Amino acid sequence: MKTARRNILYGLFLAAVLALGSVGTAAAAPTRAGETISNTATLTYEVGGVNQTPDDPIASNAAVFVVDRLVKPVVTADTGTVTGNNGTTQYLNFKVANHGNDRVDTTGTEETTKFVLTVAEGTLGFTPSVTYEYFNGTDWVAFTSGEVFSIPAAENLATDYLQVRIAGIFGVGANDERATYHLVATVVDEGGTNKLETTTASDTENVIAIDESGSYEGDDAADSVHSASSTFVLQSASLSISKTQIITAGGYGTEGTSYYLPGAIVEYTITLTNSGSTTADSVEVNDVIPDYTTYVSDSLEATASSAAQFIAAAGTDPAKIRVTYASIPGKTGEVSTVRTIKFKVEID
Amino acid sequence: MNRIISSFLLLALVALPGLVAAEVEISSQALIEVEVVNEKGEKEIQQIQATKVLPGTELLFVNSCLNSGEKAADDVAIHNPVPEHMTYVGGSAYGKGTIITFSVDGGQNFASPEKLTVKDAEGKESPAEAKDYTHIRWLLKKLAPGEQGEVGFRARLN
Repeated sequence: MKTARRNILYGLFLAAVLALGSVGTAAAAPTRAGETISNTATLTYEVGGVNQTPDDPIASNAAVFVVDRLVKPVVTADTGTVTGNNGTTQYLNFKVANHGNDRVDTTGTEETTKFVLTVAEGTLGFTPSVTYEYFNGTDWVAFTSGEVFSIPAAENLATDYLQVRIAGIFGVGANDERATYHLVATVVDEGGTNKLETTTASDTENVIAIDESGSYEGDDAADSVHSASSTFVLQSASLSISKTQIITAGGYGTEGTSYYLPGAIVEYTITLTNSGSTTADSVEVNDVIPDYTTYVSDSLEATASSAAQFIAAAGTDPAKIRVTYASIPGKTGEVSTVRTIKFKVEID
Repeated sequence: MNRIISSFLLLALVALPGLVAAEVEISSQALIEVEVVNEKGEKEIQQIQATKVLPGTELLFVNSCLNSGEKAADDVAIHNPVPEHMTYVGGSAYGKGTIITFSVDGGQNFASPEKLTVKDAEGKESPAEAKDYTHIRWLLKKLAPGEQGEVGFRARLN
C-alpha cells in the first residue's frame, strides 16, 4: 500500500467537500467522538399544598457517558450501468465517504481515518482499458488501486464525500457485452497498513468500525470494508447482410419459379440488418453484376440511402451497383433496423 | 405578649416547609443493554451503566426518587430534558401511576403527545413526532413516606 499521498489527499478531500458544499440538503452526521453526554433530572413536590422547592428544583446526579469513536466506510455507485460505443471513454462514478464521527474536533485536533481504495474486477465480458481517478475539488487526478486515502468523517452526510471514478476506454467487442468493477474501501489503522479490526458495539476501548455488506464478494457487514459496483456496457453496431433472387419476368413456366433462361429478368434483394445498439455510420454496399447478365437500367432501388448508383464495367473492373448510407440506426428496443436494396438483371 | 406569640407563629409558618418537609431525593442512571451469556450458557440482555456509547445506540435513562421523610410528598413532578445529541424513542417513557407529558418547546409547555404540534420553516403546523420532544415530565400525585418511584425513557444517540 502506498502512503505517500495520503496527507495531500486529506487537503484535497476537504477541497472537494468545499466544492460540493452547496449541493444537497443537510443530513445530520453522527455525534462527534469524545463528546460527553450528560443527563440530569429535576424534581419538585409539595407537602400540604406548600411547594417544597420554591427556589430551585431538586436535581439528580448527572448520568454521564462519552460518545465512542465510530468509523463507517460508505461506498456508493452513482452509475449502475454505463453504456458506450467502441472507441469512446466512459466513466463509472462512485462516492466514498466516512459516516463515522472522528472528524476534526473543535480544538483543531485532527483525527482522520485511513481508507485503502481498491478497484477489483468483476465479470468482464469485454476488457476496456481502465484508469482510476479522484476529484480534488478542481481536477480529476489519477491514483492506483490500493492507494491510501485520508477521509475525515463527514460533517454533512449528503455532501461530504470523495468522488472517485473508473475511466474506461472501450475497445472492440460484441454488442451488450458487460464489464463490472467493484470499488472497495477498507478502513486501516493510522499507519495505513493494517485493516482495522472490527470490535463489538459493547467494546468500550477500541474504535468501532461499522459498515453494511457491500457488492464485492466477501464484503460482509461490520468487517471494516465497504464496496459498491458499477458496470460498463459496450454498445456496438452489428451489421449483417443477405441476398435473395427471384425471376420476375420471362422465365419458363410460372413466373417466379426457378427456370432461368436467357431473356429472363432476375431481381436481387439485398437486406442489411443492424441488430446492434449503435448507429452504423458510412455504410457502403457493393455488388457485382453477375457474369452473363446485364443490369436493367434504372432498376436499382435503395430505401433511405444517401446514394445509389450503377457503375458500368471499366477496364478490369466489372459492372456493379453501389449503395451508401450515411448511417443505419441501431435497433429500437428489440427491433433491428433493416435496409433493403433491390436491382434487376437480364440473363444474356 | 401577643406580639411575641404572633411573631413566633409567623416564624413557624415561614419555617413550616422545612419543618414538615418530606425528604425526596432523585437519582439518574444512563444504561445500555448488552447481550451476555449467563452461567447456564444462555444469552440474555443485561443492562449496564453506559460509559462509552456508539452513535445509533439506544439508551435507557432511569430516574429513581425516594421519599425518605415522614410526610407524604404531593404533586411530585419530575422533569427530564432529552439529553443533547439524543432523540427520544417514541412510546418509551414509563412511570407507574404517573401522568406523562412532553414538551416540544424547550420545557416551557407540556402536553400529551396527541396535543403537541410543531411548525415547519414556512410556519405550517403539523403533529409533533417523538423526534421533536425536548423534555419529558412525569407527575405523581403522591409519594408516601418511604416510598420509591421510578420513571424512565429511552433515547437514541444521534
